[in-house]
Amino acid sequence: MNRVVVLTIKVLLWVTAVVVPCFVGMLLFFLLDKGLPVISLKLLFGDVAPVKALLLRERVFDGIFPAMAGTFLVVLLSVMWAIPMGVLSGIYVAEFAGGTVKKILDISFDVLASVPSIVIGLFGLTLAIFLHKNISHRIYPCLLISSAALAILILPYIVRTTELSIESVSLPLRLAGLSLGATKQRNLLSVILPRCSGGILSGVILATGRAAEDTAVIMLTGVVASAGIPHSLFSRFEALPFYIYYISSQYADQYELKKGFGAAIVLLIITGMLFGFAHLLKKLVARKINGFD
Amino acid sequence: MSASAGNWKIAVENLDVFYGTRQVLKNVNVEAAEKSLTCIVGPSGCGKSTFLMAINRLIDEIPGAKAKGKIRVKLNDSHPMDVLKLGDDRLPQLRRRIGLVFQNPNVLPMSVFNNVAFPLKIMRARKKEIEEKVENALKKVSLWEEVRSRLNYPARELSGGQQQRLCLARVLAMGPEILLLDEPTSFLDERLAIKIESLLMELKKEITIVMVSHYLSQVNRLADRVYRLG
Repeated sequence: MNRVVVLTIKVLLWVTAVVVPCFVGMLLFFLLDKGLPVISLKLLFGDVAPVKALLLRERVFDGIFPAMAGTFLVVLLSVMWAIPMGVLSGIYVAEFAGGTVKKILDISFDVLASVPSIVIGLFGLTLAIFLHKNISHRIYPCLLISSAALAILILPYIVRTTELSIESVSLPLRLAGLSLGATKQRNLLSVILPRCSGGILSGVILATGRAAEDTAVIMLTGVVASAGIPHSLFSRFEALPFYIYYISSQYADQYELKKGFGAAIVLLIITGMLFGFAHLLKKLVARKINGFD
Repeated sequence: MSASAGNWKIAVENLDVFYGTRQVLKNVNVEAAEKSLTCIVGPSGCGKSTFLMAINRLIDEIPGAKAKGKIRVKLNDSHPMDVLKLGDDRLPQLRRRIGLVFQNPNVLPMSVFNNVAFPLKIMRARKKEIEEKVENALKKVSLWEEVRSRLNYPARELSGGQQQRLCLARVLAMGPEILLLDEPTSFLDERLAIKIESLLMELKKEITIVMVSHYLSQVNRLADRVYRLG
């Protein structure tokens, strides 16, 4: 190949490799510059003593603690819906679905992955209205509806990563278990799933991160600006992404705006911890099972 | 060759194997006598490994692969059967009795011990029995001394030669009636290869072995009968 072309490609690759970290760095710098000064216990708990807030003895009105708790609960519930459904669907598509069925399911999950989150939010809202009219008048947009809608949002990520992880297991390894007399099911449980558990885990945690940062879905299905800690699945709740959105559009003074930046840093820390946890877990599982990363 | 005459254990008649539309094996006829070692030789890519995988129907697990013809096998407690006509539900049992060792070591993503114990656990052997059989199998392939202190280590950490012997031990632990070997010494140095050859000489007194080998000298030393493919 022409030397000029090779050099051009090298420079382009180098530039693109540098541009991404630069943008991330700029974003972090901007966020830390604006939000770091307000990061304090007051941002989290307002004027309430942290212990009293954590033990739910006193309600926090002026801090982001209820939003953190709301985010935690809605994400926890949504992954509880999505993980079993997503992993099992992924296993089915990768291992058991035949030609046409597999194609239809693959297209369906791809379409679901490309549905904008606001549309899924609208679906959740419609579901809440349907349940309100037909099941019980006490059902409104709430934590349960939000978590179900978020589960639909993250489901295709979990299905696809599970499917791809399973399909990436090499043929010789698949044959190894089967050649020793394992049934297809036993081979799946004892050989294939342990081998690709790291990949599945990564998908699950990435999906969890996606659920933690989404605003459009929860905005239509149960989140409010000031609800405190939810007391039941049918309660409304607060969440960090919505708090950031709300405060950045409704702030009364510069301090309130800075609180929004502070909340964004807290959200970033939470998702960062999730990714760190995923990375650690993936390494541990890989080392324990496979003896390599 | 007719399968009706002689002390045969495996009789392959007019075997054709296709990968999609590509024919890999055409009209193969092989007969392996009971308690003997039959060697399959031939150039690379002529379908020797495919032939072995057809005998225990592992070929079924390769997407797009199809086998036609007859592969008759006499197992100890049953009448001669055509394995190509067996229902899918009987394949795991068939593969436990017709063990296959691949050319490239494919250890399972688990510890050294569990690799050898895996087929025994499938057969629901007792813990004590599993421990004994694992140790015996590892001793047979001259691996016990090298791994006895590392039984709980991941099998992936073993060297290529150790992995190859581990795979052989894993199959021997099942106690198969027929042993299919695909280049069983390709990753071993000369000293270990000779040990494994001695083991095979002992094993063929008890079980039927069908082996693919590229080494002519090895074939001459071990084989009771040689077939050329391709």
